[in-house]
Amino acid sequence: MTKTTAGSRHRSADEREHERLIHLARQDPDSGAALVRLLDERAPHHHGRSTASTNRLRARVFIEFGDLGLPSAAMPFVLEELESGLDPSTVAAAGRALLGATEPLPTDAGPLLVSAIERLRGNDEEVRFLAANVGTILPTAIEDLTGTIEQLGPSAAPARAALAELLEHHQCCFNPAVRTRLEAALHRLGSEDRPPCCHAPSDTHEPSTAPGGNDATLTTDLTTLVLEDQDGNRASFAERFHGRATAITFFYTRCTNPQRCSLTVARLASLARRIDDARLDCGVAGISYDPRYDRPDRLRTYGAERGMTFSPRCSLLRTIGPFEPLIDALDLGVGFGPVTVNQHRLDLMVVDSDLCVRAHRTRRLWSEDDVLADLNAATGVTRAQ
Amino acid sequence: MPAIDVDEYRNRYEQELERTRTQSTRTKGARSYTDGEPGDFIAVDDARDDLGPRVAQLLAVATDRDRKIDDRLDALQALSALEFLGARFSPYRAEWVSTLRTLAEDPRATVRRSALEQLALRQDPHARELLLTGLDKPASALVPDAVALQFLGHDGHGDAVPAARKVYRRSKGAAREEALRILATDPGSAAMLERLMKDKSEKSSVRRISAAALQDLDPSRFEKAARRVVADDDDFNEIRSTSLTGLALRRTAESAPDDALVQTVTKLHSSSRSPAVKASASRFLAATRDRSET
Amino acid sequence: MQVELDIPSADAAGRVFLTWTPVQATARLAQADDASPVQVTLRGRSSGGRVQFATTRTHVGTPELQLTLPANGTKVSFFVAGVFGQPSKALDDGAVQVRVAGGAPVVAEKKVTVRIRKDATKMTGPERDRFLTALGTFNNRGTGRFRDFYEMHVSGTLDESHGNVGFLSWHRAYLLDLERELQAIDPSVTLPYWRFDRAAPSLFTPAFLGRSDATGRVSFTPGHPLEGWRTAGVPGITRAAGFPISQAPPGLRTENATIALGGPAPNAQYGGFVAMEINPHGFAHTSFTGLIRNPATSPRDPLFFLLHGNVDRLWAKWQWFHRRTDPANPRAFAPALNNRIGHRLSDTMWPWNNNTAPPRPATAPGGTLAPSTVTTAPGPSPTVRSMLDHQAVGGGAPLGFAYDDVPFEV
Repeated sequence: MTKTTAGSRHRSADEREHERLIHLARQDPDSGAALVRLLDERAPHHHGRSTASTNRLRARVFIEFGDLGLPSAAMPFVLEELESGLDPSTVAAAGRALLGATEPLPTDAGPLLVSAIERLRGNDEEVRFLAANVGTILPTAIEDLTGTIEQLGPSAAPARAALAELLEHHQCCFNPAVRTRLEAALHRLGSEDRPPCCHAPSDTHEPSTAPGGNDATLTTDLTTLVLEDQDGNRASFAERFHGRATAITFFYTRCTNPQRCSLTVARLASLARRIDDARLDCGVAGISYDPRYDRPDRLRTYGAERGMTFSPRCSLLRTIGPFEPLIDALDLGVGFGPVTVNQHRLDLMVVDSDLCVRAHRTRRLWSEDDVLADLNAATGVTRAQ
Repeated sequence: MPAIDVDEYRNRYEQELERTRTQSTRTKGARSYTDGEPGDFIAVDDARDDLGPRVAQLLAVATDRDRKIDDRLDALQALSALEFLGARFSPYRAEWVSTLRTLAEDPRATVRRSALEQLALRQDPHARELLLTGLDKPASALVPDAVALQFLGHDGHGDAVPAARKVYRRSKGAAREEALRILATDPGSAAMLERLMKDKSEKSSVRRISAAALQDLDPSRFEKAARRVVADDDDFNEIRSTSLTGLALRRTAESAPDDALVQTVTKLHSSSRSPAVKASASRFLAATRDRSET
Repeated sequence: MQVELDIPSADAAGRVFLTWTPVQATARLAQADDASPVQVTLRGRSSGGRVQFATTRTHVGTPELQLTLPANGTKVSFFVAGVFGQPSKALDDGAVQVRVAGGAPVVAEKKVTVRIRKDATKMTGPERDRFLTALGTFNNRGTGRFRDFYEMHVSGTLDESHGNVGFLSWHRAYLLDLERELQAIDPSVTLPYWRFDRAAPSLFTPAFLGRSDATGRVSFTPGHPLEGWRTAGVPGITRAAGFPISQAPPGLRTENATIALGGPAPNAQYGGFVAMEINPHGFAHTSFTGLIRNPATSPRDPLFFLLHGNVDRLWAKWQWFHRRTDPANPRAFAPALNNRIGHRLSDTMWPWNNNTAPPRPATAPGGTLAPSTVTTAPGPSPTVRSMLDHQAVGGGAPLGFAYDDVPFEV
């Protein structure tokens, strides 16, 4: 189905600035790396911008990858967007970035394209990143993602089962033209899933810092950083986390993406229950990116709503004072708009009883099993020492 | 109200339904369309029907600038009602959003406003841009400042705070009040809101908006300011009522009773001639009592 | 002589709550004067809610009931219910009294509240204020658990509750969950409903759900419990009626036309009736501008719960009139479109089932359904089936709510 472009298409100052940044990156001798730097949530060009603005720039960069080639350093950003992005145009653009891949796609790239279609089916819209170029005929985000699957063809073969299931369970959610294209895409994927040798294994479920590997001891500054919990109890970072392996993750209660902060805290609550059931001497904690807004009462309600049973080993926290020291010390992917967060990745780390970071999972949704394994490893390492 | 005999009640209701059935099977009140009424076309609709043709027809009416404005607005209303069908409306959602984006710049102000609001409620970036541009360049504004800010305010992230600050400084009346509500999402505005809440020379509505904002943004600061307002017999009844209810609801939810404050409010309850102050004082005292009992 | 009354629909404080559904209760002689049985009379006392009695489970009760209580303390069973048309106006404004037959002194008494959902325009001022105060307290300036309720009804979750045959059962559970949360704050409160096919000017006033200005901003009287209302971090409420509030919204099906939707008796079918999801339900939402007009934002306006109170009342009335409360009756429900999970009789409903495996949403805000102090139904994880017979016409435990114009009838 095609539609006419909505509204007038004058370029805003924001768009012009994005074009300038893209132009500069393209001029760079290592244009791929320069474009990847534009995606970094902490980069100065995102600072003070709205979420809409940062999304728009992300989409523009993803489109460039589709044309210029997708560097391997950009793949985690692309998969992250497909897995948990909320803005339909940005998610569709992430799909297009895969078309620039010169190496075999990770096995989960195809299934993530399908999961993105499923997630967007109640929130579809015509893509915005093409408006200035194409004129009056625009695809919707779902049509665009479908087109990506079609173009990838056998490269997206692992998506076959997920796509067949999507068509079976949600056919009423698509108009006849999209249904036909989805069926065509399914046909293009081939009759059987490609053998795994044709795809790169996705390494994004592995922590970037392996348990027992090159661990990083936290800086002195951070160990004295004061944190306040959901009941108003204050303690330094060191006092709170020393002596017990802890999974620490980050969130803020104003986050409007249910696949990110809401899900993170719900999974943290579930993880805490499993730790209790297994009688492990470990803890979990969530720290807010938005400490001025996320007062203890707000943290308490937010955690309780997501199944948290608070205890010294299971808490939601905020910094007393600025959050920035944590960003620097823990290498967190978060940027801030005029008032609060404008873009953030998923960050989860496991610190051992000596406050060494033993595992750091970024961007991708983590599973409780993986983090339990990280905690077990961190506990074992500590004991061995 | 007298007791009702259930068997007789059934008989009466049966007769009433029968009367209605024989009078008319069509819904009254909706404006007519060439192919049914927007409020009525569902009257014969089975829940399994394909919505496609009806959606296409309504979109055509909504975008037809030659149609009567009431027809266009009715079509928009009918499309919005269909949105409540969730998954059943999904196949048409992208086209619906595109249509709204087009209508956001329609020559008819009521159509523009309706479309912009529906987009703003879903925090549509295109609508956001149009609204911000209008605030920046009033000559190209699609809706009045107060309305633009109200729509931008649907985003609780506070991304419109910089624009709201500008409008707050330059405007009076409704636009200034809507700007304040956006600033209420910014913890950095707490000091200003406290000052406004306590400022007797400010409009009552501005003081009350500030008080309501502060209750959420900085409860401690609110409580301190509210105690001062409640205890000040020279202050206005409106802000005293607002402050009292803020304290009452806060107390019910989480705080322990406070003897000094209870005494002040008890005195106020008996001495005030304002019904609003009395009602708020009652609410506060009842909440305190409930809290003590539990 | 001591007589003990046991009416099981009581909270921890011993307060008895009744609806129109008869509750099986007992009386016994706790302490007899001699070995002879004693004849006693049960009678209601009321300044508001009235009760009636029967010896069997029926909608036909009497204002008085004679019982003979054995001297050995054996319990004697009877049924007690609220009198249809005479609900309470305040907590404990009714009572069950026991007198020795022919004697004046009351030998036992239980205070009773006949707790019924009412037309919002017919509530007393104190009833209205108690409801608003409980709602304002539950929202707690945007930091309370009301957040769960609007997060259950946002983009990405709407397949659970809309566009399919479980629309009415999901929303019945949703309202019940909220009502029980409000009753935990103030046990006298019930959810009122907005009869959207009638003019309701008293509802859209600064003292009740607020008055809208030209921009669509809703304002309240100073000190109103919803003055500090905040949802999703956004202060206040936006809403403007697209019709004169001295009239009903145009274009909506009337109650009688809605009840007629499933076809005439005796063949009325749920599959036809549930088309009311669009009109009147959808059109009632979109008769306004503001939060209420969009599915993903509508529960952030308290009007949502009064609007849906009426949607649920219409279902209850259709069920009563056509006797469609028995899930075994194929006309009482319909097969789910596309076999969608969450819309079949035996399915549990998200989010109360805490099921976050696809195709359910990834998170389940709010946890299980709030328990009631006066009934065991429907349990923490309700099924679609458990929502059908809310007054337990077919027996078992009722859901604990009733409407002022929908009687219990066996």
